[in-house]
Amino acid sequence: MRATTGGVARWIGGPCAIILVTSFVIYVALTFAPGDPVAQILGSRSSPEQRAELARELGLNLPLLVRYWHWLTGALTGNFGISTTFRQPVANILMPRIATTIYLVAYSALIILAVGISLGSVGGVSRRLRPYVSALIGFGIALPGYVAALVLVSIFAVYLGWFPTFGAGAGFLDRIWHLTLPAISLAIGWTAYVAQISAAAVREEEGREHVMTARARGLPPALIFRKHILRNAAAPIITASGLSVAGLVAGAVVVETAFAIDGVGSLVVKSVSAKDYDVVVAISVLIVAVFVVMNTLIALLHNIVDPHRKASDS
Amino acid sequence: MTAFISPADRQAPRSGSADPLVLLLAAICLTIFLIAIVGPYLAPYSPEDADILSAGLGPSGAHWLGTDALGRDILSRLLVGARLSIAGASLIVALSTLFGVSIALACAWRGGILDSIMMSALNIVFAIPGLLIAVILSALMGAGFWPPVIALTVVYVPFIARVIRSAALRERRRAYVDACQIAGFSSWRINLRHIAPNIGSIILAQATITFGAALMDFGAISFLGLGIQPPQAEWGLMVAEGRSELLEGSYQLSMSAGLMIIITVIVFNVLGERISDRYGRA
Amino acid sequence: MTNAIEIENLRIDLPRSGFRKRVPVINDLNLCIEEGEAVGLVGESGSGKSMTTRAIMHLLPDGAQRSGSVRYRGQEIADFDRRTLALYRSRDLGVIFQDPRAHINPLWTIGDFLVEAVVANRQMLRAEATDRAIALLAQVGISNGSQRIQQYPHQLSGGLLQRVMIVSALMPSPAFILADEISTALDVTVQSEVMAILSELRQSNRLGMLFITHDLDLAAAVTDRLAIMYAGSIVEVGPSHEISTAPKHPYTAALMASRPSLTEVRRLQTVPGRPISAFEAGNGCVFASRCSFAAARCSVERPLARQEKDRSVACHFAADLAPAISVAASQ
Repeated sequence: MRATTGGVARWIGGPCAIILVTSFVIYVALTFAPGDPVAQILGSRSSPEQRAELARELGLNLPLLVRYWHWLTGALTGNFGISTTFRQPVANILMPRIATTIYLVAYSALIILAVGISLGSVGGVSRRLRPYVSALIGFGIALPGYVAALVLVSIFAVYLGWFPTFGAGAGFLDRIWHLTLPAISLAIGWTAYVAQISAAAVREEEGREHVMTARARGLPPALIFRKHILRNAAAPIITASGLSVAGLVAGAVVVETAFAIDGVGSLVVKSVSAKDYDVVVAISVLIVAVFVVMNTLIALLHNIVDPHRKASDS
Repeated sequence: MTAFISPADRQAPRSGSADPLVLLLAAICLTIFLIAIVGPYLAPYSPEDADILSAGLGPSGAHWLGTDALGRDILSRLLVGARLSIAGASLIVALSTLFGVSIALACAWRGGILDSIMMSALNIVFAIPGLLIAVILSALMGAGFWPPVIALTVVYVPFIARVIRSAALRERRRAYVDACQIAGFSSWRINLRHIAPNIGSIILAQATITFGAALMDFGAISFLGLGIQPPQAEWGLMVAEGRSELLEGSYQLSMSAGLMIIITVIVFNVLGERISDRYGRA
Repeated sequence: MTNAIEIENLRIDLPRSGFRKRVPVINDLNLCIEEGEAVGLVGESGSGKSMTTRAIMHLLPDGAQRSGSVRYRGQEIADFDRRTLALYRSRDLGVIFQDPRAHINPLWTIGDFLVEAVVANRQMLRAEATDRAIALLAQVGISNGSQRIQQYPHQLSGGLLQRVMIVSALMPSPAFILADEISTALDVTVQSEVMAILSELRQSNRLGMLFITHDLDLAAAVTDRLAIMYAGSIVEVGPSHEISTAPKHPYTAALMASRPSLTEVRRLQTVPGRPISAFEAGNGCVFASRCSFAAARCSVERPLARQEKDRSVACHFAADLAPAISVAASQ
């Protein structure tokens, strides 16, 4: 029993602590950002009394730690403050955009996993195709998402007219149609990264002695690949895939801007320019949380795929 | 004089001729740096002078790559833009290598509390995606050249520190380091004269690969409008500026700037891989 | 008796870094193994022993080039189609590898390792296979088989894992066992126990075996015939007890002279020079560069194997050297 409670503390407590510390750092950093929220809300023609009144109302005259505490307790109940540009609660603005970004990120993640792992496997196993695969990977890694976005738009949207040039769409199929090019541009770099790691891992496992044993025992090649090569190469592939999916959330900032998609990523850029800091803090903490949760999931999965740890637990 | 030799001193040039591909790549790298330095003098037109009469022209004898929506010569902007792009990426690499290696050497050498505090601090930075740090910092400092440079330095320091720390730890356990200590050398001297040169190739490989990533990310921040501001020329910014023309079917602006980024990144990545293949992986 | 395995004029060339063309690692190898017979293949490392086992499994490294023939029960294995080859590897051969720790996938349980081949090749159902695995584990002295099969390889000692490997080779009831340096990774007491188990099983199941080792004494103790290998070819073949008492080839004699003695303490006598690989041997006898009896003819003309009753020796001077060699070997 004690092992399990210790495990829970480690798996849940650690990530929570990191999210807490980073949220504090981000909150404090952005309090020092230039720009006065009171002046923004009231406009330049307000009287000093009005400003002082609003500052008190918003709690801006309180010490920093107290303000953070208020923000934190608010955030835990879903109250992330008020957007100065939209003049609405931050949560109301975020909700619809989060859905769009989740669609985009999930779509990209699927592409990364499917294409990245298969491409890597081919490059790892086939000596003949290896040079072509690694050239493809090298190109993919060097292709920035914002360039990929414009290349895809000019070919598939402008020239061929198969896909729309901007927007996120509504409803499931329309969303998929709108988000295909953005998802691909977002996925390319990470796909190449996952493929690179997978190819190296598969290639290394393929040369192991136990794979020779499996061949010597006449096992079907597909079974050998699945059970003795890919399964053994799982740990680095899981790490690379997890890091990719975590990185997608941040990468969405660029791609959403390039395709004018109204998601969380483009919102954070607009909010920074508009000095709408409550929104920036909320989105930043959200992205960090996703990042940290993904990293924890990677570690958990590692524990599951490694019999050394599994056996010592039981 | 030193009575014993650390491996770096006796490392004779490796047998076998230099890899021709490495020489070629190194030559391309030098050319890119050269363009960044002398580009403005080569530029046939002023990169910031708008000329509405010759806006949106295709490639011609007068404008090899055509002109943008404001009538500025694309080739000139590309040549001048190299300066900010390359300078940005170089500064990011130099600063993050300097800080990363210093932190790594200090952590590997002192170990203990310093090491664990430093490593948990870096882990927190790791927990924040790089682009987000850049976005937040540019919110704090405003747009321009320095905010993305500082932001991306913050992003890359943990990566470099982590790799170099493990290399330095391995190096620290070797016998010649004990010998240096017994001979009474100062920690500074051992670290700077012996450990750092011995992991030099790992540092070089790491810096080379970081260059490509830094160039792409620096461009990304300008692309978002949070870095270099118009009318200055920078490759990432030029990709963004070409977006509206691209929707009308004219590709030169975005594609030429994009291509410059891709080529530069590929050259540096392949070079970095070659270096680490040749001199042992980190 | 009929031959289970016939290797004829086998030559294998491998790509090698620093060489433009492939270089031979096995050259003109001839060897027959009868049904139920145990043959020991003895040689130093690099002589091509393991490559010979890989040729028998038809599992050569990437880029290898093979000529000559390897036949199983009269059929050329290079002509097998994919399905036949899979069946040949899984049902006819049982392979015991040198280092069980490396040759068993660490991520699956012992039970999974034991049953996977027979189940995948539809020889048995899983439950049936599990029962057989437990029974065989008991035969090799692992009584708590039903618990062992739930464990992972890292939870077993090297000696136990080697027995698991033996069981895995016996699972499909093969006709022929390939044992590649199976005792090298074990310490001496475990080694003799494993060897005893293997010999017992082999006799009770009437299995043929090719026993690969660098240990001439060990090979002589567990096999019917010995084949001595040097630089990719076989230099001497004959009944184990005869070869280990009266070698005819100078290399065999040198090998015997360089064994550590268990009864007297003396400096080890080594074979002069270093062992060469097949591609380093010129046109002459492969052993010429190290042979203390070598004459001019030896370095220009490759000696053919000369059959004399049930022994065969590839040496120009085998007949003349017999007395000198027996002295050298007994030293």
